[in-house]
Amino acid sequence: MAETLTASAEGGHAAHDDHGHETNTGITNEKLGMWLFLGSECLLFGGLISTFLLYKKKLDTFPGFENTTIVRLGRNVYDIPFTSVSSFVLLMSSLTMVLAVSALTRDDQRRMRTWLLATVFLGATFLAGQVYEFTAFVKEGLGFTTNIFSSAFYTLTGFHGAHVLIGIIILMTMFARSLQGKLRARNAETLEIAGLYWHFVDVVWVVIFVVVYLIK
Amino acid sequence: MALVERETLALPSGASPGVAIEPLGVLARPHTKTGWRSWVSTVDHKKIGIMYGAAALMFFIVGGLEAMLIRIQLAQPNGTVLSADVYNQVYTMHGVTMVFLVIMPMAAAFANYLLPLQIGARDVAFPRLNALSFWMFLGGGLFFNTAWFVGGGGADCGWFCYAPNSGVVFSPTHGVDFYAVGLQIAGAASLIGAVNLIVTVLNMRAPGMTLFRMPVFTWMQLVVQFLLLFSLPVITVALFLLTFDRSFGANFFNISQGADPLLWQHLFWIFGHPEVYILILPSFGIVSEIIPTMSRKPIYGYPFMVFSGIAIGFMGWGVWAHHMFASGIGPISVAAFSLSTMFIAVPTGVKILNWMATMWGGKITFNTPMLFSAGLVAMFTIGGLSGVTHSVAPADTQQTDTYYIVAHFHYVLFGGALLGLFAGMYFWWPKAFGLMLNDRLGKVHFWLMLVGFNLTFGPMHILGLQGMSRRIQTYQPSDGFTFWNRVATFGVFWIATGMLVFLYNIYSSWSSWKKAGRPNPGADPWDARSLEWSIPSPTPEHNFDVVPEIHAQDDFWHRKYGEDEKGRAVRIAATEDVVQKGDATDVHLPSPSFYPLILASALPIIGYGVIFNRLIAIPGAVLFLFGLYGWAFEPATEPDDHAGDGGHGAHGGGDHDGAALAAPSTEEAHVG
Amino acid sequence: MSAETVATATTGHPEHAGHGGAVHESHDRTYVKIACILAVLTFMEMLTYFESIFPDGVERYFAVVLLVLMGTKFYLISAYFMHLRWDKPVLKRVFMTGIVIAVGVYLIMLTAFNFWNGPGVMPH
Repeated sequence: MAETLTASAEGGHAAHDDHGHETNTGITNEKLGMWLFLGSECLLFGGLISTFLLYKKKLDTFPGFENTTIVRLGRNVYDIPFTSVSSFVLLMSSLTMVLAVSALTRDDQRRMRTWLLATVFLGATFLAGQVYEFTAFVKEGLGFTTNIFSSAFYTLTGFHGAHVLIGIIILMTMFARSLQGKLRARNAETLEIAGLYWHFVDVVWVVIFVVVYLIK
Repeated sequence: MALVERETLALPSGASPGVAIEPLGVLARPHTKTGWRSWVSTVDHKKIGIMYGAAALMFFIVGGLEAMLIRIQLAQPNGTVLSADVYNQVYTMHGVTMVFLVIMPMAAAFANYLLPLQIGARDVAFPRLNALSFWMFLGGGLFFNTAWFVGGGGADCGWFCYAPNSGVVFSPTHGVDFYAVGLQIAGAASLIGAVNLIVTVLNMRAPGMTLFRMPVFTWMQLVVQFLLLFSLPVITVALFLLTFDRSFGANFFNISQGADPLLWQHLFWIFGHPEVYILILPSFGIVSEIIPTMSRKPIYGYPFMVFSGIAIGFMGWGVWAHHMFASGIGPISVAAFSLSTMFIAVPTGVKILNWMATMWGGKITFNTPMLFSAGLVAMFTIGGLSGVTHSVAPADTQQTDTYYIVAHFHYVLFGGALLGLFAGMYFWWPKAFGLMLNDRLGKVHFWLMLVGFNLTFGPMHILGLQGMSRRIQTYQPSDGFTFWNRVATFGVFWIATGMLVFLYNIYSSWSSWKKAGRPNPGADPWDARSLEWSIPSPTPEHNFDVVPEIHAQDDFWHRKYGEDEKGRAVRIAATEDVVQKGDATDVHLPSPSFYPLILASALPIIGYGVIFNRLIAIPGAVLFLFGLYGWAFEPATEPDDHAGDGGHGAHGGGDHDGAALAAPSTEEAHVG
Repeated sequence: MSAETVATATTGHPEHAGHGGAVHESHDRTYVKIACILAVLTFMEMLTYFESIFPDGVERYFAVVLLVLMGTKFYLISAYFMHLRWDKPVLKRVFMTGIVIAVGVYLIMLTAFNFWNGPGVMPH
């Protein structure tokens, strides 16, 4: 996949004198723009994760709140085996995503659509898991406004969930375009760029899973 | 999402595609080239730049009137012009307006107009996203100011809006909600703009325009856009937390639940300190263009200029807590941030020395742009030095929240950033509008500004050291603050008069230019150095007839001047012979579109929904989706849209935002 | 967001045509291998939750182990799935700049909050 792109960029360079479409970096504007955006997103999620870590610790040490129900709720609500499974689901959606892009570069529409649908399905499964988890927490009495831990937890995971949802919408739009016959090998990069976004959302979850759920 | 704006690939052969065009847009494609429709649907970076400038000037007048109200209130002890509550709102709105709605967009105006021209490109990388940035900024700014009318008063938490003052308990009106949502929209606009301009500079330079041949202005703007790219998400987080607290009952700044108000301070200043350089570096870039031109010498130490800018960009990330020395962050943090702050003065000092070395021995023309530039160098030095005194933590604890701080940041923002932006306006006015501003009126404007500025903000150093706190609504005769406050209020009327002279200059220069039969100032009225002067004034819609080939830094200068055996500059070609004619007719440009405006106008509606009633957000969301999908399914360029009259798809037939603009390279011979 | 949106071009870059087949098959195999490694790493991460199966005293190394596993997963996804390994270096630099600034400023911020000290040392 990437070798194709590199090759095509170099091919483009050779043809540079005929038509001036090559960029200075050899990367298309859209792809460079997406990477810049992802670099920026690192600071967004970094801020949310730091806020969460800070408030998780604050809640433990806030005078007068030790051992109250609120603190207990703030610490031991996770269902780690369940979250591990949904983390695994999201990881696998990254695999189906690269396979979809790879199929599209070969203009293998059937496989591409299959993998694309699989990605959407896995992403939706992850989201459903998150909705289930939130519902379970709220039933235990940990709502968005309960304490500083809960506000930070729902904001962080909610932002991530919103990113997954946007990713799903993007991929479904791609799928619709492919049914119309408008997603072909020559614009495989469109799908690749959507894929970059998808993998980034996955990578963020890799961090959240460890930092928010596993480390005590 | 809209970044994945990959449309069909351009045809390498340049041949017109053989397929009929499906009508994809819901709205008819706007085609007019004049009138209001051509402005609201434009994707031309030059028109967008001019609109940024006009909007910023409008907000400057609003913010300036707020400043005058503050000074009138403080003209004498026990002032009664503004109540304490209204006073809080006025200084907050003044600060936010000046920082986010005046200096940032004014710098964005220059960036939009000049970056493509200085690197030899036909537009920015994503022209429609560029239009979206502008409309989002304008929508966010207007939305923020409607707090006066529908929010129960403006925001009243100070421009950095510390918790818990920003909470519902201490600020029960909707002013702070408008602050949070309005800045969120304007911030998203800047983020999109940053991605756009970085891609433009990295990807769309003319052949031979290596990074180290770019003008210093382009370099400074590149650093600024990277700072925006990485700092805006931090304020985005902070503003979301604030909105969630106020509108949805979250606990991020709820002290009774154990929340830490310092979290806001950290997040705000992690953004806020890079923001300081975001405000000043564009002006540094502007004077780095003007001083060499008016001194008729190349910029002294170009690599030092560039690397000190990059150094400021990096070090700007490690100094934020010097805004918090009095917040109880602990002695180790204070010591560390104190040291890093002292170090960041070094690259700034390098710049000052380089400008002076550029002027040294030059044939200086003291016209208006040069006066404003020299004014920046002098005034910023004063502001920079008082800034160094803040880095000394023991002194800073004395100065924090006094008028000494107010004096300092006005010396860097008004004396630095704003004087530089005015210099840029006088300098590039002929390029943008095809007429010169009157130089004599310009000089009157400059001196009124400079004297008024020093009368207003100079005394504040003394007031601050006497102990007058900032943001205080009034004072007593026995405090001993009366005299210098009177002087400051006297000075503000000089500044206001200067601004009136400036506005009159715009009008009178235009009307006398019209009376004289619209004489053209020529492509290169200042005998300048960078590429934008090699094309006619005003800039033709397609920028360059042929994309120039670059062989050196200050390439345009070297086409005009060579060196004799003693190393002196001698003219080798007449300017008229080396500038382009602007008469190309077959350039393929991106087509105008209404969707950026539609998409941007949905956001304030959603904002009102978040603040008042979720039902209002529904039409906003519908409009948003309509704009989004309309945008996505509208081709960036109609194949038959051309800048000139004839020429059908002959070359450069790019169908996605960027490709059309990286036009075929030039066959123009390099002169000299 | 947008898929290909213009009905115009029917012919693409010739450079884009004629690629396919074997090269991608081999990459596909790499992707599957990477995914297997990721799955194993995730399983190892989950195991740390069941402290009782480990000998006493091992738990205090869990945080370090988890961070190493996390870093490895992060590297594998961005290097292989996001092609940074094969792509132009400028993309890696842009992304790394974001990560480095984020990690840097937020670690400093947490340090300023005395985050790394034991419970009870924190102010408030």
